[in-house]
Parts: sequence; C-alpha cells; structure tokens
Amino acid sequence: MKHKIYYLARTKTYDIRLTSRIFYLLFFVCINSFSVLIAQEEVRCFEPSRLVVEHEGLEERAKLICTNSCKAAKQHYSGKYYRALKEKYEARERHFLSMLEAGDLIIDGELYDYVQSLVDLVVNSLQINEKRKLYLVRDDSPNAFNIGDDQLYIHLGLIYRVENEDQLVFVIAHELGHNELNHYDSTITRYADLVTNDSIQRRIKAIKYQEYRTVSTLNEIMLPWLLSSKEKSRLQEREADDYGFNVLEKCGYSPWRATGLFDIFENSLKERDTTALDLVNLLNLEQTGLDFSEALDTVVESSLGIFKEEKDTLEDLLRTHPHNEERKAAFLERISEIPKTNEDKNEERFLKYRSLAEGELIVNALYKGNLDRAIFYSLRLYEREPENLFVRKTIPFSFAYLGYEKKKRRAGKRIANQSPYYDSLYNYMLYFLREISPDQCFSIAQVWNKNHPDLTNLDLANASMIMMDVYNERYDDFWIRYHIERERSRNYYVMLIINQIKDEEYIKK
Amino acid sequence: MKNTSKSNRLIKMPLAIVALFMWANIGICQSTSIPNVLKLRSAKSSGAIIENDKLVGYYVFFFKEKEDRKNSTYEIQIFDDNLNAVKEIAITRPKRSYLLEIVYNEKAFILFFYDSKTGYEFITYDRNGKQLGNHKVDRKEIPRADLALSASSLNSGTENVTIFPLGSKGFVRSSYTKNKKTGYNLIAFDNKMNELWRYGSAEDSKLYESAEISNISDEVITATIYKRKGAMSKKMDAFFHLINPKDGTLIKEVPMGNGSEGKLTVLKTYLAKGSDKIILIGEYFKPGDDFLKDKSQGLFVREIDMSGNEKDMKKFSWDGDIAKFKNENLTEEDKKEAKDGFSIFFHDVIKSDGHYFLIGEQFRKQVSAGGVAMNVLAGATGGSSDAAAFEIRVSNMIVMELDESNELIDFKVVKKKRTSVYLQKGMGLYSSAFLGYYVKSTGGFDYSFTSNDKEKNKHTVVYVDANRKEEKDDKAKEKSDVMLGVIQIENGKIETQRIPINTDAKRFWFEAAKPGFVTIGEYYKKEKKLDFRLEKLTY
Repeated sequence: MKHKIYYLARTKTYDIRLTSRIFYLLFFVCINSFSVLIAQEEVRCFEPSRLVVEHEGLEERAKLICTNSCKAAKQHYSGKYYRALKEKYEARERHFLSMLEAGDLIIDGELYDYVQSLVDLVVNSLQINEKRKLYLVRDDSPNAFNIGDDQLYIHLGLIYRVENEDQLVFVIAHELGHNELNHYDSTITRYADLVTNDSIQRRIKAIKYQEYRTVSTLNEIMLPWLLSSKEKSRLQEREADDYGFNVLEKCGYSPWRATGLFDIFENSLKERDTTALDLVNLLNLEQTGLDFSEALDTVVESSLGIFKEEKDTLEDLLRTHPHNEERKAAFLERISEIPKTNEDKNEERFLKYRSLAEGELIVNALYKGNLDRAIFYSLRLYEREPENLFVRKTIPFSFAYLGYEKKKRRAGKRIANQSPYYDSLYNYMLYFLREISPDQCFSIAQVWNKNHPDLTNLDLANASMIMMDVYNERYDDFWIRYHIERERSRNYYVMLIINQIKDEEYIKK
Repeated sequence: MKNTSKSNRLIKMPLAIVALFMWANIGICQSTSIPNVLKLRSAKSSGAIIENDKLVGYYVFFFKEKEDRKNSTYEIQIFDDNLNAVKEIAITRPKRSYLLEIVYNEKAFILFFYDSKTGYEFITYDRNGKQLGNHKVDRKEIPRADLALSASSLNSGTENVTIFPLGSKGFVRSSYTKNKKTGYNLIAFDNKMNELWRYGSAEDSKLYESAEISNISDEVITATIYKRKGAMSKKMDAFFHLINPKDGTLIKEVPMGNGSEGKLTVLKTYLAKGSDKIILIGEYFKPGDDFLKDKSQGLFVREIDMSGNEKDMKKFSWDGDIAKFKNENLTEEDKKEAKDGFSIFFHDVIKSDGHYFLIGEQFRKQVSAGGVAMNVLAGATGGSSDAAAFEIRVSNMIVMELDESNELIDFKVVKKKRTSVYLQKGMGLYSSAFLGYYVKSTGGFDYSFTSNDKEKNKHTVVYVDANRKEEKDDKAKEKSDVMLGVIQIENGKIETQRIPINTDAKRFWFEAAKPGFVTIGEYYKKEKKLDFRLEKLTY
C-alpha cells in the first residue's frame, strides 16, 4: 500500500491554490447537491440522528427524577431500607448518565419523533396526564426497557426487527405497563428486602471471613432469593403483556397483527434476514479483476467440531421473561375473543421509519468500529433499497476503512469471530471479510464508486473517497474532502475515523 | 522434549495465569473478550491446543474459588482456532495446580496438571466434558529431571510438549525415569488412561539416557535417544529409534555415528503422512569430537526407510558447501560477521513441492560486556554475581532449501535485528549446539511459530524482529509497536515480509494461530479485560 507519511511543507502559493480550490469545490458541491436533490426527489437520503454525549437538561432531569423518587421513598421507608432504595435510585441515575455519556441515546430526529408520536398516542389513549419521554437506544439487540422513571427506552434493534407498527405499539404499551404498574419500584423493594434481611446479610458477611467455597456458598445463599426474584419478574412480564394487549385495541391497533412479535422474540437469536448475501454480484467482485475465489471458498467449520449444547438445569427458573411460546399462547387465548381484523394494512410509513432504524444501526456500527455489522446492515438495506444514497456511501466507506485497518493489522478488532446469533450465512460473510486483502477491500470500494458516478462526481461528501485519497496518496484531495466532511454536522462517525487516520498517517497540509 | 516457545520475550510480559474474580463470561464481540481478569500473574494460564503438530484451539485455565483446605475449583475455557468459545470444563484440583499441557486427539482432551505437593495428574475428557479417566504420578515418584523440566516450563513461560496424540485412540507421553541412573520412558495410554505399552531405557542401565519424540504416525514413532556416562559428562552419543506405535516394540535403532567415525546429532526430523521415508537433519562432527563441547563440521541430511535402512546421506560443510551460498547471498557486513562463525538452531522442516525447507536461526556465543562488568562490580564489592561472562547473540533467520535429491540449492538469510540472551554462570563452557537447546528452553529465540496449510501447500513461519521501524519511502521512519517477520513458503516459493503490529494495550503477546494468522493477546489492566484477536499476516 502506498500510505506513506505526508510531511511536505507547502508554500504560501500552494495554500492559496488549495483554499481557492476548496471554495470552488464547495460552490460546485452546493450547486450539484441541489441538482441531485431535485433529480432524485424520490430517493431517500438518510441523515443520522445527532450524537449527544452531554445534555444539561437531561442531566438535570435525571437528577430530579432521582430526587423525587428518593423523596417518595422517604415518605414510606426509613433507615437501612430507605438507604437501599436510595442506592438503587442513584444507580439508575448513574446508568442513565453513562448511556448518555457513551452517546447511546437518541433524543431527537425523524425516527425519534415518529416513535415518540406512537408513545404519545398510547399515553393519550390511557388518559395519562404527564408525558412519557422516549429514548432510542443505539443497540442491535431486539429489546426495550423501563426503569420506573416515566421514560421508555427502545433499542434500535427492536425497531429493525418488528414487522409492523402494531408490534411496535404493543412493545411501547408493554413497557408503559411496567412503568404504570410500578414494576421497577417493586423490583428494588425486593432488593431492599434482601439487603435489610439480617439473617441473609449475616451469612453473606460470614463469607468474607470464609476461606473456602466462597463463590458456591454465596450462590447457595442467593439462589432462593434469585429464583423468587426471577419468578416475580416473569409474573410482571405477564402483567405487562396483558396491559399491552388492552392498550393496543384502545389505540386502534390490531392484536392480530401484533401476534408475530413473539416469533420475532423466539428468533431473536438468529439474524432477521437469513438468506445468503450474493457477495459476488452485490459487490461487483468480477469488475475488480481480482481473484476472490479463496475468500469465497468458505470453510466455517470449527477446528474442534460441533459440541453438544448443554442446557443449564436452572435455565428455566432463572429466566426474567416467560418462554415466548407461553406468552404467545396467552396472547392467542385473549385474541380469540376478538374479531380478526384486515391483514392488508398499508405499512409504507412504518417501513420508511424502519429503514431509518437500519440507517442508525449502520452509523452506530461504524462509530463503534464493528465493520461486519456495518457491512451486513448496509448490504441488506441496499438489496431492498438500491437507490438509498446513504447506504450507497456506507458500503464503499466500510470496505475502504476495513482495508485501512487490515493494513494496520487491526482488522481482528473490527470483524467479529463469529455471528452473535451463530448464523452460518453470517459466518460465511465474516469469513469473506476476514480473508480478503487490504487491496481487495480498496478495490471493492473503488469499483463501487465507479459504478455509482453520482457518488463521486456530484456528491463530494462521500467518505470512502477520503480513504481512497489516503490509499492513492492524493493528499491535496484529502484535505479538500476533509474540510467538506468537517462541515457536515451529522457525520460524527466519519470524522472519528478520518481524524484517527489523519493523526496516524501524519497527513500534514 | 519438543519445546515450543509461545511468548515473545521482547514484550516484557510473561504469559500468565489469569486470575479471575468469580464467574467469567465469554463475550462475543469483535474479538474474544474475557472480563473480570484481575491480574496476569504467572505463566501457564493459557495456551494452544495441539493435535498432530497442528493448532486446533486454545485454552484458558483460571481459578474460581478455594473448595476446601486442600482443593480449589478451576474452570477451563476451550476455544477453537477461530477463538470461538466451544466448551467450559469445571474441575476441582489440589490448590496450587498448574495446567502444563492440553492435547487433543479428535476424540479426547488430555489435561496434564502439576501440583507442587501431590505431583502429576493426567485427566482425559471426551468432547462433551465428561471425564474418561485419570492417571496420577505421586510427587515422590517423579524423577528430578522431569520436575526440573516442568519447573523451567513454568518459570520461562515456554511450552514443553511431552504428550502426543496416538491417533485418536490415546496419547503417548515422554518422561524421565528413576532408574539406576536417570533414564527415559515413553508411555502410551488409551483415552481412558489405561496404559497400553511402555518403552524405555533398561532399568539397570549405567548411563544417563533421555528421549525426544520427533514424529508419530500410524506406522512408526520416531525418537532420538541421548546417552552419556554421567550427568556432567560432555561426551554424549545419539541414537535414532523407530518404534512400533501398536505395541511399543523397537523396530530399529539407527546409530548416529560414533567417536571414531564422527558423531551425528539430530536437529530435526521429517515424516510425511503416508510417506515411506524419514528425513533426518542434523550436524556432523570430526572423529573424536563431541557435540556438547566441539564445533560441528557442517550439516547432514539423511534419508532412511521405515525399517531404519539408510537410503541416502548428504553432508554439507560449513566452510565449503554452505559458505558458498552464504557468500552469494550475504552483504559485506554479513560476510564479515559470518567469519566469526554463527551456529544455526533449526526450528522446523517444511516440505513443499518435493523440496525441503529448513527453518533456522543463527546464534553464537560471545563475551558479554554486561556479564563481565557485573562480575567485576560484584567482585569489587566483595560479592559474587550469577551472570556469565558469555552471552548468546541471536541473529538472522535462515532458510535452507534442499531439492528432491537432498542437494542444498539455496541458503537464504532473512535479516532481523540481533538480540542477546544472557547465560547463567557456568553455561559458557558448553558448545553452541547444546546452548541452542538452552536458549530454546528459555524462549530466547525470536522464532515464534510455523503454521501449515497442507491442502493449499502454504506454510507460514512467524518470528519477532526487534527492529520495529517500518519500511517507508519517506526518510522519516515510523515505529510500530512490534514488528513480526513472516517467511511464507507457498508452492515451493519463498516470500518474506515484515508486518507491523499495533495495539492500544500496554501488555500484549503473540500465540500460534491457524495458517496465515497470528493470535494477539491483549491485557487491559484498567478495564481488567483480556482480549484475544486473530490477525491475518499475509494476503
């Protein structure tokens, strides 16, 4: 690779030349971007939600929630019991702040507004006077949660997985159920019961002085409490399911259409799309003129063979949620009482927002440096929406970045060892990504850009071009594109990577 | 014993026991991550799982809790060659247990434990973690030489391979015995740890004898046997034994020269699966010379059939045959150095396209300025120092190529930065050939590992180059965190590369990996996290 360090000291003449070029190009970009927007009126161009890592208002709100919870607790409890509850409320505040600091929370934007509108709809249908605030969580797992703070947390991975708005509304209603039924408070009072139980505490304290079997003894002491706690948790989940079911109808959504949600949960340990990715055609591998046969000739078998999966004897008892089958059966039992609704509801609006969630997942994967997830989500979205401008840029960018990391021998940090869902087709893609060379990565990006001239000719804010500038040692162009990228407020994930490369390669003006 | 250095001595972090707090959870993320690793404290907590010279996985052995006054509970996490966690085995062992080796034979794992009070214990498990059998050797029964080997393995962080798979039916272990004088034993066990056969030195032997297994196939086990009169004797004879793997009977003893016609040493052997010949590579000596104290005359390549009959013998003298190649390949600076005479320690033999490639590393004994200074200083203050006046200078990598008729056709020097290994007092008296083994046992060579992809006829030799400067066109050089050297032999062609490795961890090290890859272990003290990642070396 030709990524030599760029140390050339430029003269004043050069600086003027470079500055005027930047102005000229920026002007050119503005004109052309405008024409692109006009020409591609129907084309979706995703703008990521902004990254928020500090927010005075939210920090104060978290503090206030904690103070109010503590005040409310103080009215009923005192002494050790109160202190235990206070400790939990403070931990909840810290947890919220840590999510905020890590940039895990989406607090505004198009997708956010859409989901918040669904939350508002549910809240209004129940005639709850106060607003229930929503946070979207940048997390791939299909999950949602409530921590008793009148706020709902929905993972992007859940929006990505659900099939229709009815399912999403059911999840919102379910989480709202946890909040309105005070499940969190009930959970932490169980914790307070534990820490104020003198008999248990004495036994736990004794472990500190015990030389042997400390872990086992602790497990033995905690197990009855743990089992009862999990049983209670499963009961709460059933209550929240009932709550969600009731709300769904009130809001005008169909429980029939929400039934599939339990199958989604059941399959949460699999990828959403389990069909094979046609890497050869999607990435135009033949056009690169390079030989990819070794990387495509997948051997994904474990060197130690397949091991028998063992189920833990306590697995069923330690579940926080009832089995999906059981939840589905309960849901179907209730559903049988109501007439079946029209199944052919237009989901265009929902699918548009679901694509936004996919876009956010791609951004999050790039920001966290999980290139296999970024490439996987991008290719899946591209399969369905080949005109999506955003994903057409993230594909070459991800490959160019992977090429760079391979050169640095850091690709092992960027590509997972195996599918988090043990999905063999995903593993096939992982094998391909692991095996291809840096030059093959850059070549994929180059061919991609060539096949999408609108990305290279009209829209200079194509981050893969910056990577290619480094690869091809076009440092003048690098700086031009760098300044353009820097002006774009929502591409924090690109700037993080570009700045890292700029510093590592000592690219100087 | 076959000794495989797995840690990089340039990185001042010994491979270590991973002390974990409570339960360890293996997370699936971009690399295999083990949280709650409180400290890395001594050697032997993690290592490679070997099956017939091939890496098939890794293990991490960690402490869970004290069970009672005598025992502790441990967990062993097993990973495949892609670093995917495949199995966890919980085990109760006497406290202060060290896991010395894990070997796999397609059907069973054998775990070799050492406990300073109780001795050795060998436990076999099937693939589902069910215990199949065990075999104990009381500490009192363990010969001193065996204990010394285990201790050196633990202290130096190197991996002494003493157990080999016997097909998928069992294992063979090479050990010392407490005969009249120290002897050797090769003991075969089935997967349930029932003894199948035993092959060893005569109980009444008046000689010090040791054995080193070199190859095991369905047809033959090959081992080099060393014999000498006393523990301190510098006169030693070598014999090459061919043993029947079915019953442990001797097929043939192949003598390796003698005092009057000149002795031969075995540095490396090669036995291809399904092949009917064995290749022996070693050094030959002048009549009357001995390999523990004298300099060899050159290298030999000997070919024998499965019955031990010699088919071919070629000798290549240092001064003639080899120097000829050296002069063609070496720079003026190297030629000057070569005059002072470097020895070669052979790490591996690779067969590709009918040619043999001998992978070696140059080293020589030289006066240690530091050692002399320390002795002078210690003497001046009326004390004494353990430092020797000699050190071992480890130099370039060597690749020697032999054609189909075992003729030397190339001698390639792969340059790398020289490093030094200090010798303990008294070690300076031994010859280079012996010191090569000593350096190997301390993990002093820069050679790291070889991975073989026999299907693709691709072999990758990995070593560490202390020269961390990256080759750039620019005058300003950039230093990587560590530089790995790679010698790739593919379809008979040699290619060399230097690969910069970068990491944000303060403590990191390398382990053998599947063909074309290296495993990097990274310990993050602040986060108390141990990460393992695979990096592809060559593209």
